[in-house]
Amino acid sequence: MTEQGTGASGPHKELLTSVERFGLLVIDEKQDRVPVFPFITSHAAQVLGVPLREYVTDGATMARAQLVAQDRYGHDFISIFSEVGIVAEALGSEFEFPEHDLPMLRRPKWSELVEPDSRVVDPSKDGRLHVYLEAIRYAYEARGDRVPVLVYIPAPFTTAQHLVGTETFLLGLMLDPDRVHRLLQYATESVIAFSRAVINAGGLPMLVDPLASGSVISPDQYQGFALPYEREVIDYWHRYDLDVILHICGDTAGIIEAMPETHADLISVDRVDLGDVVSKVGRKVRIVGNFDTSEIWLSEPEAIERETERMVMENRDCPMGFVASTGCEVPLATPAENVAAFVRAAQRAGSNPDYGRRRK
Amino acid sequence: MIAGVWQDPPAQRITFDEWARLFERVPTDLLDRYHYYRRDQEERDGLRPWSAYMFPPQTFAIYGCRHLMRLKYDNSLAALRLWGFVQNETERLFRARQLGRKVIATMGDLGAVPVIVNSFPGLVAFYPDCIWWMPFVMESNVLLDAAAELGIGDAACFSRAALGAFAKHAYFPDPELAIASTGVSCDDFSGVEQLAERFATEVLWVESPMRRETLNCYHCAGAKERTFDSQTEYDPGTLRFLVKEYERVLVRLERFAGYTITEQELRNGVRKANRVRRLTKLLRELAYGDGVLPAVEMMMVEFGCLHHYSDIDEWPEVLEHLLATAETRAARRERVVAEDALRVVWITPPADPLFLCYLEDQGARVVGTEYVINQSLEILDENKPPLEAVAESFMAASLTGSTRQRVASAIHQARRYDAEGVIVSGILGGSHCAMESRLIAEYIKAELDLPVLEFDVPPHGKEISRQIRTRIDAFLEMLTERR
Amino acid sequence: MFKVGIDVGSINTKVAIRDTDTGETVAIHVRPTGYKPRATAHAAYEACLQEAEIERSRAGRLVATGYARHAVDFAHASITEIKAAALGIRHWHPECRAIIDIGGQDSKVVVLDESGRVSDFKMNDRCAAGTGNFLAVLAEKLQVPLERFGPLALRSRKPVAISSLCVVMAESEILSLVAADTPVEDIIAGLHEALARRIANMMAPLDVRPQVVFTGGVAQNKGMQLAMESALGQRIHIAKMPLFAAAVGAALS
Repeated sequence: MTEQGTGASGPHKELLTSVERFGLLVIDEKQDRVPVFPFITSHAAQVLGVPLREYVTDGATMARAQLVAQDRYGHDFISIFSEVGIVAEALGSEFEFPEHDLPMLRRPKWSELVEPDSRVVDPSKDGRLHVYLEAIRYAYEARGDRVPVLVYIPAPFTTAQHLVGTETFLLGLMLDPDRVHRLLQYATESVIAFSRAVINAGGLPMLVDPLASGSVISPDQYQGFALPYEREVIDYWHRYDLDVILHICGDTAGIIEAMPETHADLISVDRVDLGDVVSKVGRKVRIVGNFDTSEIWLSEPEAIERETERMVMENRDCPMGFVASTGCEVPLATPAENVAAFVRAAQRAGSNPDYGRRRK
Repeated sequence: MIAGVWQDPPAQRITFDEWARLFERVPTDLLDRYHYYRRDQEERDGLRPWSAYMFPPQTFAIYGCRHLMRLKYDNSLAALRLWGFVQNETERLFRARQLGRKVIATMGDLGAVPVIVNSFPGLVAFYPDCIWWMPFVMESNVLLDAAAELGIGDAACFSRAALGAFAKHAYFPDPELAIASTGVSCDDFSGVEQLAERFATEVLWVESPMRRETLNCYHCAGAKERTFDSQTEYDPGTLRFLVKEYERVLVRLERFAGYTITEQELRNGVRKANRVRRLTKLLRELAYGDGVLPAVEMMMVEFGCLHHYSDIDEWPEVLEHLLATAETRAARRERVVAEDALRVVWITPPADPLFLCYLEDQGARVVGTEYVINQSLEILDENKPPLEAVAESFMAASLTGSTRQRVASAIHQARRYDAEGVIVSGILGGSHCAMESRLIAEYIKAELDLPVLEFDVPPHGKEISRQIRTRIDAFLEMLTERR
Repeated sequence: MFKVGIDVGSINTKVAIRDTDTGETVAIHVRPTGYKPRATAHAAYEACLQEAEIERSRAGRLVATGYARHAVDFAHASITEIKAAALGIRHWHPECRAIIDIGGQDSKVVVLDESGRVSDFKMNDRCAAGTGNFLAVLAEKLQVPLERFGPLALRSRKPVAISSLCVVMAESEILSLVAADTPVEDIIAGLHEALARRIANMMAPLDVRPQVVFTGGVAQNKGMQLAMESALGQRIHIAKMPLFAAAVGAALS
């Protein structure tokens, strides 16, 4: 493996590496600039020019694509992620793998809400968990001293839906809540088992729970069925003192005040008013957000720069800290100059000219 | 899992992966029991406490310390605590500043000035010098590149990493005062200190004098004294000079802290430092004598005498914990290395901890060390005026006398623990080390008739170079045949 | 019964097979190590067995040595090339008390006690300076095959002084010597002297007594023998089968 390029330094040389910058953020210290975190996931496959099927089934390819993309854009995290069904697949749900699209759920493990078996995933063998582990090790060996290797782990709530299918699961919330809880507990054990292997390989886990979004369930259902299991996983990660990002896509306006109860250290939001989020929970947690993913895909670079700058200027002084990110994954076909415009603008607007100046 | 109940498994050195499995079994409430800056923590409300530190190597690996994946570790709870505490120091120093403590960089003298600084309430001393192992632990050029940009490149000792850390402002808070020792100290590091001057609000320079051997000192007319602990001979005139320097430090610290320190507070400071040094002595005795703790953990213990990893209250607790573990093991005759392991004294073991692990993997163990920090291991004389006690401990410093004197402690250890060989490793670029090694080897051969292995430590890497492994292997083969 | 020694060096892999009944070395084999030491070691072993017409099942204990000894996963044991060289050289030169071994990647001096055990050793540091590689790189520069170095050096009347042992610096020194029409044999003899000086410096702190035996790939170079003798001021014996000393030593261990 060759030593990779300048990495965190990106197109121009910066004082801090991404690891150093993130390290300062999580101990409540000012950074040289706001960390910049577009969710560059499968878009990296396009940067490297490999089919998606290869990207999601071959760890070395995933890592190489991530490293090349990080070299090109100079953002602050490597993202190891295929899709949110990864743990459900390892537990027995079937997925298909189109050559040029992300894996899709073909058949859930169970077609109805049953009593779960006692299985817990074996990360070295089951499904494609090894693909993640291989990608983490590769990226970590290449760049782990400078850029955090962030691994998107699907939360138990999202995993459970991929075990029985969305419709069955959502009906179950109302008809058989006890059984749903047992299924969630079952999913939690495997999510934790997988994350243990991720941590041991050098990956920093981030919890993603897209199906717990306000666009899918009610705030009460979130509090009753999603949050407790998010917290269980996060508490486990806190045994390792990891600084945890919790990401929930879509509309989270109704649950934003409950989200810190998961014990997450950073909360990442999508289609909500960022100012509102900052004012409601910005004193308790660090905020990660939320450039519109359709905009980054479809707008012109100049407009993206303008909008990014506005977003960063408005939120960079968020009390506990701010990370400039996209609301969700950067769409696959996003033009490279758009991503570059976002990163460039966020770095510029988020820079802290007082960093390192002597304090009087 | 029963809350809070923990029994160490039988003593063993284990891998990174094995620690992950062991860590699963440690009860969470046990992890929450230990905190740095303990007293400040109690005043916080509701929020997740930030001062826990009981975390496994995995935590620090994720935040960039890649080398940790390749080491072996002691498998006790006390060792977990040790690693977590030591690795947590960057965070701790920033928290110190956030709590309103004043962070002071002490540099170059390795052990003396922090005794004075830590006697003041609200002041925290640390050594930027200790950053020197980060390039090894991270397997990274990040800090060395930053130092090179400021003018210190490959030709200098790895301690240049400290300059990179100053420039980045991300490894410790910018010190509000730096107390830099120079004179008889490492030449390369004096260079680092000069370049680092721009990053501290103020620098107070302290001159460390050469400890004249009374034997050939023409102006001290045969007067001689010996240090309280190691009985190192010194010239009283030199001691008086250093006391004057420390008086200057004291005046500056009082002005800086806006606080007049009492004689009693200084005496307490000496006592606190002594507690750490005594614990370290006991641990060395058990580890090097009975083989109950691995060499890497002992390296961290010894370096703790320098500035107590920025927490004068918690560090001795960590040591007590280790000592209890070591004593239990000694009583049960448990060891982390084979009973018949080859016994080796190591002079200036490398900053790369992998070397110490390798030696143990090959069936040898360390029974003595000389890290150029003798002064910080020296017990202070509590009956002397405090500044004099500190100055006297510095008279035993490794770097302030002749090579022959430096070697004396290694020879003493080699005899005490019946060493079968001595390793002398020099630091590539370290100006004194590179030239001193051969001399050290000669003195040792003359005094002890033990085989000596010398080599220079190469820059950081994922593994030890084959050439150096061959040397260590051949050396151990040689020791085995001598038995 | 037979015993086998495999010495996987940085440049060549050497195999020696000994008949333990007769005490004779019955077969030797050498081939370039290349980038796959494990595969090379295996192939060299098989080839040596074949040449000696020995079935694998009769081959007996196999000991690996050399730079890549750990790659020989089919070995029963491994020892360092220092110990192996000591065993091999003492076998043929029972009076030997010091070994100078200049190989491709490193050079070493091994001191033996009266009974032939290793009592001290030194290896060169850091870079190609002081190794066979120093000569190999400069041979290319001079466009003279390495095997011609010995005979040419012996013809030199006035060896030039090469001041630097750094390959890069020596290269530029040589360029200016070539430009000044210095005879190539004088340059080569100068290179030998420079290398010999380096080895002599390395030996200075050691207690070296006769007999001194010169081994390793560079020992095949007669010019180097001469240079070493004048740098050390004592007679240097060339090892019997210098390339195979460590392999034979491993087979003896």
